[in-house]
Amino acid sequence: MDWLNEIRRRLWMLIRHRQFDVDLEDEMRLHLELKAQELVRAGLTPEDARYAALRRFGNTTLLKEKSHMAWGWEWLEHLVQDMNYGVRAMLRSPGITIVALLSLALGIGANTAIFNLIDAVMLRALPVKEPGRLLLFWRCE
Amino acid sequence: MAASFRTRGIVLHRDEIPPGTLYLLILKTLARAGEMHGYEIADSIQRISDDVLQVEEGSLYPALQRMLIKGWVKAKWGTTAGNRRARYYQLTASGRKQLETELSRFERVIGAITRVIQTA
Repeated sequence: MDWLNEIRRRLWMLIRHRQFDVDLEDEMRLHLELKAQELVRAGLTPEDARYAALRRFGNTTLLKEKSHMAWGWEWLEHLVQDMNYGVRAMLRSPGITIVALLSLALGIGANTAIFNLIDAVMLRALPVKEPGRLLLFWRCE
Repeated sequence: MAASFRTRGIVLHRDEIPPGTLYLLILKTLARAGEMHGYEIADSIQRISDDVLQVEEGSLYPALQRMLIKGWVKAKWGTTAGNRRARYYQLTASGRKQLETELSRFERVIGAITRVIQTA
């Protein structure tokens, strides 16, 4: 059941991703400070120590990103971002949005209506037993 | 692949940790120490290896995250001796099993490499 637990952990991270980023930042800040203290003990000035620790650490944003991405949710986060962006773009120009929505609604509605008619008249068999034996009578004068 | 940089007279030499052995080093360190935060793990590996192995922060934290996902370690928040909030990592049962696996794989590879380079 290892994989089930793994999914559970990944979901838990997804729910708490804000807290997760804050935690990661705290963790890295502590690391930087402890590293700087170590370098001060080795004889650097506090300022040099801080810069040396930062240099060693490298790009903290990239590092956070890599740690974050290890959990494998970036596809979902990108999807949410894209949808947010889409909604914002639609709200920015409501006129075009309404026209687009109306034409989509009318187009889909008209298609459905026509198909319903054709379906009932031409495609579906009449709701009687043995429709092939139906006859049509009329009188010619 | 060794890199070094100079900070006002102090030269820090760095040897990269061979790929694939970082998990082993972290697992072993945690198995020995019980629980540690990230800095302590890196520091411990560096000290015990006589400064030869320097764990890059850039690989340590993503590795710890992957180990959390795999369930090899669990983390809880505590306070350091200096009264700072820190995330302490601890081995789980499956982490202990993984340590065994990594150890035997490492010994197999090192044994093979030794045989190759010592064959006249």
